[in-house]
Parts: sequence; structure tokens; C-alpha cells
Amino acid sequence: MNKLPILLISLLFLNLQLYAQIDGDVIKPFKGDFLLQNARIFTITDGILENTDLLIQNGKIAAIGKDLPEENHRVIDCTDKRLYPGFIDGGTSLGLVEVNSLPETQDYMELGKVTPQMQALTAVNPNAVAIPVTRVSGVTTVLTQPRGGYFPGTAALIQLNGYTPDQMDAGFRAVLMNFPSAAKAGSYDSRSAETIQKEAEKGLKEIDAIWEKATTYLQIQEKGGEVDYYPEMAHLAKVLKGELPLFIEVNAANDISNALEWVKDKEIDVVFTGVAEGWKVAEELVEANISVITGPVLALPSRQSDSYDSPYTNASILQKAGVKVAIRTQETENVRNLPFHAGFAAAYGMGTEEALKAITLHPAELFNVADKLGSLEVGKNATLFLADGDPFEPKTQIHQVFIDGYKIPMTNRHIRLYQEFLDREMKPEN
Amino acid sequence: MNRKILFPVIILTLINFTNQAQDIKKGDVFIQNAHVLTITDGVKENTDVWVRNGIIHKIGSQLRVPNDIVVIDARGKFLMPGIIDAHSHVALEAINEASSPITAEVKMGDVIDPFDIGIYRALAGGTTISHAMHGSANAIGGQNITLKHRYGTFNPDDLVMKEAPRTIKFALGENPTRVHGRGKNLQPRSRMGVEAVIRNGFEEAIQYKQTWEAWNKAKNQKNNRQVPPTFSSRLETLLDILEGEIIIHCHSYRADEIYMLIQVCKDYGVDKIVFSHVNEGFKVAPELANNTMGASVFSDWWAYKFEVYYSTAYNAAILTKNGVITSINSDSAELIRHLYHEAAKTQRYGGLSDEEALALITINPARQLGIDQWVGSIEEGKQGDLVLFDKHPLSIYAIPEMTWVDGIKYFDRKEDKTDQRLKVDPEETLEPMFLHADHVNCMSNVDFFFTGFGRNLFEHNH
Amino acid sequence: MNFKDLLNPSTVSWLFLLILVSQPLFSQSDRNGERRLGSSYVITNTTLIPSPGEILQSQHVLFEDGIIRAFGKDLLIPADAQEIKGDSLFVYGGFIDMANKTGVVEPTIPEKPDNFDPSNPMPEIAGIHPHFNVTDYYQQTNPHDKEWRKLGFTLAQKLPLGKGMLPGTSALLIYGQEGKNNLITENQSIYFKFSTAGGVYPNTNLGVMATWRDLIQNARLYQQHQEMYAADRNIRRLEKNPVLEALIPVIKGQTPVLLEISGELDIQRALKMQDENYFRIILTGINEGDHLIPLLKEKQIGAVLTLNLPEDPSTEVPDGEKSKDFESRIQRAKEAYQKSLALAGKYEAAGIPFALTTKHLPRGDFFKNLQLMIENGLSKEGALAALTVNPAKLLGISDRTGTISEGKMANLLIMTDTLFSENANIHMVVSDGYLFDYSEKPEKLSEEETTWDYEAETEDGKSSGTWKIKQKEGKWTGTITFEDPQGQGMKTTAIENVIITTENMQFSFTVSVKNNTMEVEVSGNLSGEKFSGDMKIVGYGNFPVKAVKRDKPEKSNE
Repeated sequence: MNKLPILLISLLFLNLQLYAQIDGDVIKPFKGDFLLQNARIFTITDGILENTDLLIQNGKIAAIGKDLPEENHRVIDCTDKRLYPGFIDGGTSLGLVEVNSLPETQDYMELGKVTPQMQALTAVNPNAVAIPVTRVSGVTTVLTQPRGGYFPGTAALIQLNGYTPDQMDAGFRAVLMNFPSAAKAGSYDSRSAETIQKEAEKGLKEIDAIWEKATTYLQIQEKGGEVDYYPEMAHLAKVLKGELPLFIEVNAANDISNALEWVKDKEIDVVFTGVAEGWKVAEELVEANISVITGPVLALPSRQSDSYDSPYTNASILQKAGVKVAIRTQETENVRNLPFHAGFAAAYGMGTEEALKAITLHPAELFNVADKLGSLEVGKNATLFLADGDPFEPKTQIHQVFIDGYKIPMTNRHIRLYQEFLDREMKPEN
Repeated sequence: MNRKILFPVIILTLINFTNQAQDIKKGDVFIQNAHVLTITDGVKENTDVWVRNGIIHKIGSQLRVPNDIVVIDARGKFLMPGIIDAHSHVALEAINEASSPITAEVKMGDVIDPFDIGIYRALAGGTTISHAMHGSANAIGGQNITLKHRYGTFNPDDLVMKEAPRTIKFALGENPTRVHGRGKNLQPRSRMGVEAVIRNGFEEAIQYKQTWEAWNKAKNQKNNRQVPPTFSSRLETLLDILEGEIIIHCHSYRADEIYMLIQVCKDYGVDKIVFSHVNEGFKVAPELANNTMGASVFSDWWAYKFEVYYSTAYNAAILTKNGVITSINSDSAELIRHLYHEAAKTQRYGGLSDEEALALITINPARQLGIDQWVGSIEEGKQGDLVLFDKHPLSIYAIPEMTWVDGIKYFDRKEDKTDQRLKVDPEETLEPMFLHADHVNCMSNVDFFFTGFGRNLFEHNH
Repeated sequence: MNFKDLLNPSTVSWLFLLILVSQPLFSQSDRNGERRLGSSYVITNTTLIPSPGEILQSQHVLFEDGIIRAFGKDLLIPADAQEIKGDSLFVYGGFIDMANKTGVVEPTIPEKPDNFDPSNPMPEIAGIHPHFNVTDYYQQTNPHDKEWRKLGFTLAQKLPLGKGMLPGTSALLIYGQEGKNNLITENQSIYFKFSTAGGVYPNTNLGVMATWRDLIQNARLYQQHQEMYAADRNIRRLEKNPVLEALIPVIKGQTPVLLEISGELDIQRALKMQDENYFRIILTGINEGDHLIPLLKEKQIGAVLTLNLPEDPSTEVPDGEKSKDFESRIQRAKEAYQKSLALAGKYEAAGIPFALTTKHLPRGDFFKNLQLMIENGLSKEGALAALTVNPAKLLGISDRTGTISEGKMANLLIMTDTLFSENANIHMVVSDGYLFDYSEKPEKLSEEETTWDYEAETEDGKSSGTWKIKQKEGKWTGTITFEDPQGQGMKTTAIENVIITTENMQFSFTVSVKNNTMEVEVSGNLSGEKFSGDMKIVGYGNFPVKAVKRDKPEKSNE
């Protein structure tokens, strides 16, 4: 038999395979120097700058001004468009969950009540499908959190671009704590008022005991004593030393008051999260000078007798009382709705300007990254986006997102499915 | 008769009378100078809408109305028809009769809860009609009920929209296969089984019909030897579906299962079917456009379970552009509060026009529920279900200010009291708190079957 | 023997002998002196309330063989009548309880087969057994009925137990002499409730309503088949269906349905059921929904209100709950509470002859709750009627009881003062003509001691013992026995922090192991005589614990 035809056939086959492989381009984020020309710049810290240019160089905002020289920069015309700093979500599970109902894809909860050393960043999947779905909405940076128990773990601030967790690391950690609740947890909760009270007190006692132990651990350590390997206490000791802040999840009004009492004599860096009933105790929070990350805004009132709009107005009431407020979605796959949560807060009393701060500058300050994120200022990270209108408005389109100077491809699986299925008929290529 | 006795007697008679008559309250209102978003006839600027005895009597300008009518100055404001939610579980005491793969006989009308605070909260979001549905545990679930949000009544029947045709819940995919196949060792355990269960049901109904026809023919004949057959309201209901008297609203996600049910319906000559959730509907948009009464979708929900992992928020836009009657529903006590905002998201995800976006929550769900001749747009002769916004309802800054049902104002932001509960537990001292709770949903009442599965199954279960 | 002979004293004593002969005491002497001297009694010179609102002074009441023979001022008192001095006493008709379950045990339900299909269970497993007869499950020797008798109850409608919607038929029973068959009427009504066996079809009210519709239709078809088969044996035989057979008297309107409700939406559902397929309804357990009163009146629905009133919300207001609206919220709960208390008064004002049920009611609350109803609008006469004439009428036994008149059963309540007045004590209860004297030591419920047998499951296996719990002057105290962790047999220690409500029980105790003490907290739910909850050993974990209250042997008062 002649071997030639077989060889030819196999060659042909190989070729076909090769062609099949390169059908369709992969669009990747890339870094470069970009001159964003003639934009309306919402700086957050310095008002709105009309018809102004912004230069991105080496991942930073290199310049903001009128008629900046084009030089060799890639120029993007921003006429009639607006620039905003990337939005920051103050509390999510993004990257820790792929499909919410499948336990195999849930990495936000570890066994045990006291697991402060568990690192959310470790479990963040840089290729989670929800990440590109989120960032094209202008949400560029999120706090991603473990859940469950008294000390569920350490949350990490991540930026939504990168191939490894380290590349995504936005430089902030916080130890989380769930404050024991003395509120009835829903209509199914059949415990008596007394039992609920007792259990909450018991929970706090247990937390106090752990705290005491961590304090002792630190004292021994600081005196130069030998301590056994005890990662939980070692990690809590960092909170005691002020190396890591403590984020306390607390929602019912009474619990908030008790939490304020609990933190009063502790010299630690504290932020309250959730704070659903903050509107009832806003003055106490102001007095204690505690900042708050609240949300979701698009949520049900916490009690049947509450005003229907209490979740919408909570952020505004806190802010007007003088509390520094950041807003979170507490979402996983729909973190992209952050601007809408802020928009509802804006509509129900907060106003657009303050609501913008609640998802830019304020979270950046609470996360100790205000030198890099949260506003459009020279020297800060080039984490920002371009929109054709108010980004809180659903109608507005987000045209381009930059994260740390990377130009982010404005696509994701949702968009690709749209492109494929809008018209199912096969058509010759344009 | 003694006067002292007479007086209570009169009162009692009056109460008696109102109770017997059970008249639905209807009202008159005159809304002046609004931007009227009619839905079916464009936007009319500076226009008046006059509702008389619960019905939109006239639309126009400089209308002459009776002196005693309530006048609402709506200058600069936006008036749209009451929002209609084609998939909800509000105002229900029970959701799932999850004990059998087919429960066509059960009726949500039997478990209406007029005290649900969710009704008021929906009104505060401009939603005036909801389709209170059976859950998604069974391949063929129960008969749904279309409710008008006449909050304040203690009588469950007062909430029922009497004109609405009958509808029934079907469910495909993960939920019925999990509840029955894995939870109870009953078919269906796969999407193959779902089809088989539905076809079996239809076939049994046809046999049932034949049995009864034979009996009805024989029973009055001399020397009849046939005995009475057994009555089954389950099979009666399935027959009514086959005879086109009931609209199917089918919980579904994946394209293959949607396609399957379209084929089954074709085989049995059923054309009254709406697909609900239908996250992968965009993949079979042409089939949905040609063979169904449309799709009722979420604006952006996805990834909460595996069968919605390959979803897109552009679903509503793709369906709309392909000619599918599309609506956006809530299936949630929370989303029902801002369906106008959910509709607005289709402008970000697919660039729908204002008119297209608003149709998703008004005339389109009305068509899917078979009630479009009475509601869903602002037209003379339609029912006076209206909502007034301070800004355009598709704007994030829009706030619903007043909501009317049948010309009666059930919500007014200015007069909104904090505690709107109709009924209070006499023993209650510590009021329960509901945090991020969306406790009523498609999979309520099925927990019993999953005691061994762990709670994560129930965190996201639409 | 004719009717007149029955009244002849000699015949009566002969009948009495017959009764004695029928007892297993044949040829034996009355060793403990328990036999009565005869069945004829007279209460002399007493104040008689023959029916609510009617008061007669200086009356003699003669009853014999369990029947009231006569009453009046000038009564010829037969020589064999034993006298009960009625000066300063007040004689009322004995109370009638409705929808009562004390003394009834759970029926045995067939085992689920291996290939069990929960979507199509056999009716008994689904809780659909209207053919079960409560008399088959009633234990007359139960300790509870005697306690209710001490509170004035002489007759009760007994309901069958069962988890589902149709547990069976009710019966009327006298709280009479022990050892006699005290059944008055069986298959008196069909008992229906909005509840399910769980885990099988029907599983919710959705399925219950649908099942009821099918049952009614199929009972009609069954009846039709029955008639056809009776007329012509050459057709397919009727396969016996006890469920449908039990419902035929309902569709014929012969037997009422006693429909238990737990809220006003259940009332609406019941009315809907009746609108769809007419049957006679008596609603029991009514606790709310005063706006429905006119409708119930119009439809002539029998009404049984619950005596189990809610707890006063103002007694347990948590301190420091923060809300601008907290006060108004508590105020609303208080108003709702007041409304519950006023419900009975509203039924009375509307002219509905309602009855009352003690179901779920702790005995100690009986007079207290009646008093609350009276303070909130119910007349004393109305309260008495709700416990006597009205239930007699609803139960169809007005010809036999409910009022004091000639020929009716001798079911009497003899008080030291007028009923519902502060210092009134129960002197004696007459039930079925038998005397139950409570004059000597009035029962103090507050000193009741209960004993519980518990079993806890710990990591090391099961451990069991008893709890003894006692209430004195409003404070609970008690002891627990348990196996010594060091293996030194059973130990007893005091329990502390006892809290007992109608639904919950909790307490704590400490166990010493060598030099350490372990703190143990027990808490859980009470349902009837059963407790189920958790035992927390602080620092170790939670273990399930179950307990059953012991039936206390009763001293006979007869």
C-alpha cells in the first residue's frame, strides 16, 4: 500500500485542527499608556472637571488636566462621556463561590466557630465566571469575605483583574466577627425572648473568653515568652496589636448598642458591617465614631412593622447623622448591581454625590487604600471607568474599564451569549 | 322595639349586608397633567386620566369632571399602569404541595393570606397585580391565582381578580427531579422522567375522560350494568388543560427542557403556555416566539444553581428582539418591590427602548395571564390600576408616590404609616427580624423531604 | 315492664340490683365499703340555677338513677333519698366540654411498606381515617378527666387523636362513675382539621382542600354504587371503602363535621368548603376573626371558642428594645390581646349560642380565663350558657342535659357561692347521678407535683432517670436523678432556674465529677405529657433528651 495518501490525509487533518483552534480571538486585558481625552471627570475629592484629559501611565493616574499632550499614548476620545473611579463593594463573596447551590463550589465557610486565620484570598478563583461579569459594570474592587461562626476568617480586598490571587490582591485584610444576636431570627425562630437573650449573652461570653485568651497570648509573646503554635490566637493577636482591623457584623438595633459597649474599651481598629437597623441607633454610632459598611440596600425591611423603605433609607439616615458610610451588596454573582444599590440609597435621601462616595472614597478609606483607590487624583491607581451617563442609571452604558492601568476587555460570558444568540440564523461574516 | 336593642340590630344588619354582598371597593380619581405612559399608545404629555367607579373613564386634557372627585396634581410626574408580576408567591400561606409529581388538583386560591405585609410592600413598589403561584417541586403543580393587591381586606376572596382565566404551574429540571427523584425515589429523577411524567398525566386524563363519557352514556339506560367511576379532580384539571381552559406557566431553565415541553404541548394541541424564569430561553427564542404565549424572566439572576450557570442578563432583550412576548417577574418578596427597576436593567443589558422595557412589566405579563383586556395599559375602559412616579419609572431615582387599584388609592408615600400590618400576634413582644430573607419562594414547603441534605440546598432555590 | 313501673321505687331498687349483679362482685361482700346505699338523692333547701339567668331560692332537687326527678319548694321527699344539705349552696347544671382529647390515645397506624409511595399512601398513613371511632382509643381510667370533673365538667365530646385531616368520629362521654361504661353517643360527628400526617400526600392545606373535594364526590359515587348494588346483584360488586362509607352520613346531612380551626383564614376555608359541598359544620377552636361573626350567624354555623387565651404580651416586654415605634408596636400587641379576650362577648352580643373548648388549656387557667372573658364583655349567664345549654344544643343532647329540669340527666355542679364570684368553691359535682365530693380539701393546683421519666442520648449511650418538679407559691423547685458519671449508681440533686410554660420547660443543675462541676442546662418543648428538647453540658455539647410525665395514681373521691 502506498503510504503517501495516508500521510496527506493526516496532514490535512492536522491542518484542519489547527484552523479550528485559532477560530476566534482571545481578548486579554493589557497595560499601556492611555490618554483619555475630553472627559467629564468625577473626581470625588475635587468635584467635577469638565472637558478634561486624564493620562494613565504605568498603571497610575499620571496627569489630569486640560489638553494634555498626546505624545505616543493610545488616545481614547471621551467626548460627552464621564470618568469615575472604580466602584468598591464593601462586602461580597465574589470569587469564593461559583454556583451557589453546589457545596463543591462554595469556599466561603470553614468548619468551626473560631477560624480567624482562614484566608479568603486563598480561595478566590481568579477565573470565576462572575468576575468579568462584575467588572464591566464599573465595579473594579470588592471585599470578599468568609462567613459563619464567631470569627469566620479574614476578608481580602481584591481587584477584579489578575491571573493569581496575589495579582488580584488590593492590599487590605480584615478579620471578621459575627456579633451574637439577641434578635429573633425570623418567624421560624420559636425561642422565647428570654432564651434568645441568654443565648446571645452566652455567645458573647464565649467570644470574651477567646478574646481574653488572645490577649494573654499576645502578652506572653510581647514579654518574649514561648507560646505553642496556635494560629487562631496568633491571628487574633494581630487585631489586638492593631495590625489588622476587626469588622463586626451586627444588624439589630440592640445588638449594635451592645457591640458598641463591647468595643468601647478595646483599643482596636473597628468597622461595623451590615447595620441593618442602624437608622434606630445612628446617634450612638456617631458618638462612638464608628464607621459602617451597610447593605444590601435592595433588601426587605428587617421587621414586618418597619417602614417599607427602611432598607432604602438606612444608609442615608446614617450618613446624615454623621456616620462614615460605605455600601455593600452582600452578593456573589450579582455584585454588578452595586451602582443600583447606591442609586436607591441616593434616591431615598442620600443624594448622588454622597452615594458615590459610599462606593468609592469611603470604602477606600475604611480599607486603608485611599492613597491608591477611591478617587481620581494624580498618583492614584488607574482603576477607573468610562460611562456615557450617570452610572447609577440602568440606561447608562459603561464603555471602558481600567484596573490598575489595565484596559479591561468589555466582554464576558453574558455578553458573548448575547452576541451569539441575538440572531440565531447563520450569516456570512461581515 | 326598644331603642337600645334596635341600634345594634341595625348595625348588625348592615355588617351582614356588606359581608354578604362582598362588593369589591371601586373608586373615582382624577389625575391631572401627568406624563402618561400608556404603554399601548405612546407617552401622552400633560394629560389627565379620569377613573370612574374603578374604570378608566376618560383620557385627555381639560376634561370636565364632577366637583367632588379627588384631584391629583401630577404635573411633572409620570403615570403608568399598575405593574403586573407574572410570577410571585406573595399572599400565600403555603406554596408547594410537594408530595406528588403531579398535583394539578390543588388550588392556590385555597391558601390566600390577605395579611401578608408583602402585598403592601408590593404596592409601595407600584405592583398592583401578582400571579400567586404554586411552587416548583412538581412536574405539574397546582392551580395558581391572579391577585389584585387590594390590601386592607380580611377576606382572602377580595384579593382575587375574578376576571382572570385559570392558570397552572408546571416545573421542569432540577427542582422536580430533586424533590421526587432524589428525595422520594419517585420519577422523575431526570429530565427524561419529567417528560414521561407529564405525558403519562395527559394520557391518564384522556382515559379518564373516556371512562366518564362511557358512564354518562350508560347510566340512564335500562339494564345498565356499568358502575360509577372514581372522581379525580387531578385528572379533571389535566383535561381542562388539554381542552385549552387553563394557561400553563412553566418553571423552566434550560433550553432543552423548554424545547421538550413545546414539543409535548404540540403533540396534545396545547397552545396556552408561558415559560417562567426560562434563563436559557434566549437559546430557543424563535421556538418560543412561534409556539408559546411567551417567556417571563428574571432581569439578571443567574448562577444560584447549576441549571442557571449558562445564563445571560441579556435574556429579556434577546427574547424581545426575537418577537417573544416577554415579561420580567419577581418570584421574590423583595424584587416585587422594584420591578420597574428590574425592567430598566434591560436598557443596560441589550438596550431596550423605554416602551419595550415598560411593556415587560405591564401589557406583556397581562397578556401572559390572559388579562390584557382589563389591565396592563392606560386605556379607556380598562381597570383603574395606576401608579404615579415622581420621575420616569425606568430611572434609578424614580420613587413610586401613589398606587391605585380599581381607582382606590392603596398606597401614598406621603400618608405612609410605619406599621402597616393588618394583624398582630396578641402574644408578640419580641418581633422577629428577617435579615436578607426571601423566605417565600418556589421551593417553600419542601424542606421536609430533605432533612438529610444540609441547608445549603435551600439558600438559593428558585 | 312499662314506663310507670320504672318510677316505682321498688322497681328502681330492683334495677339497681341488676346493675350490681352485672358487676364482677358476684357472691362477694363489699370488702372496702365502697357501695352506695342507693341511687336516690335530694339536695335540700338550696339555690338553684336551672338554666342561665334563672334563679330559684329554697329548692329541693330530687334525682334518682342518674335522672332529675323533680325540683321545687314543696317536694315530697322519698324515704330512700339521701339528703345533701343545700343551704348556702348553689346548684348549676354540670359543664359540658367540647372538642376534648384527654384520655384518648393515638391509634395504631399501619407500617409503611418497603416500596412505599408517599404520593399515593393508604388513607390511614395519610391521616385520613374518618372511620376510626374514638371510643376504641379512649381510656376511661385516665387521670385527666377526673381533674376536669373537679372543675365542674360532667360530660365531654371526645375527639380521636391522629396527625392528619380526618382522625375519626367523636363520641360523647360522661365523667361519671369509674367502672361503668360512660358512653352516651358514638359516631357523634366527623372530626376534621387542617393538618396533615407529614411527608405524604396531602402534605399542606393545598392538598387537604383538594382531598376533601375528591372525598365528597367519591362518597356520592360510592353511595350511588351502593344503591345500585342493593337493587341489582348482577353488577360489579362494591369494593368496601370504610373511608367513603364514613362520609356518607356527612353528605346526607345526618352527621355534622366538627371542624377544628386555628385562625380566621381557616374559618374562611371552612366556609368555602361548605359553599362548594354543603354539610353541617361546627367550628371549634375559634380564637379570632370577630368580623366574621355576622357571616357565621347567617350561615348558622355552630361555634366553639377556645378557652386557651393568649398570654398577656405586657407581662414579658423585653427591656431596652430600640425602636422609635417600639411603644406603638407593643400597644398593637396589647390591643390584639384585648380583642382576643373580648371575642366571647362579641359572640354573645351577636346572639350566637357558642360553646367553649378546653383543648390545649392548662386546667389552672380555666376559671381565670373565664373570668377574663367576663371582664371583657361576656355576661356571667353567657359564660354559663357556653358551658351548659349551648354545647348541649350543638351536640344534639338538649333533651338529656344542659339544663336542670325533670327527666334530664343528673349532671350538677354544686358551688359554695355564685359561679364566677371570687370566693366560690366547688362543693360537689354530680355526674350521671353519682356524687363527687370536693368539699373537704379544695384542690390546690399550685402544689401539684409531677414526675417525669427522661432519657438522654449522650456520646456514651443512653442515660435515664426522673425529674420531680413541684410548684409552691408560684415558684418551681425540684430534683433530678441521674447515673453517676463515676459509676456510683443513681444520684439525686436539686434543679434550679425552673421555667415552665404551656409549651416550654427549662431548668439547670450541676453535676460534680471529682473536683470539677459540670453545668447542665435542659430546655425544650412540652406537648401534653411529653417533653422533647436538649441537654446542654456546658463546654461539652448538646444532647437530645426526651421525657414523659408519669400518670399520677389518683385517690378516689367516690
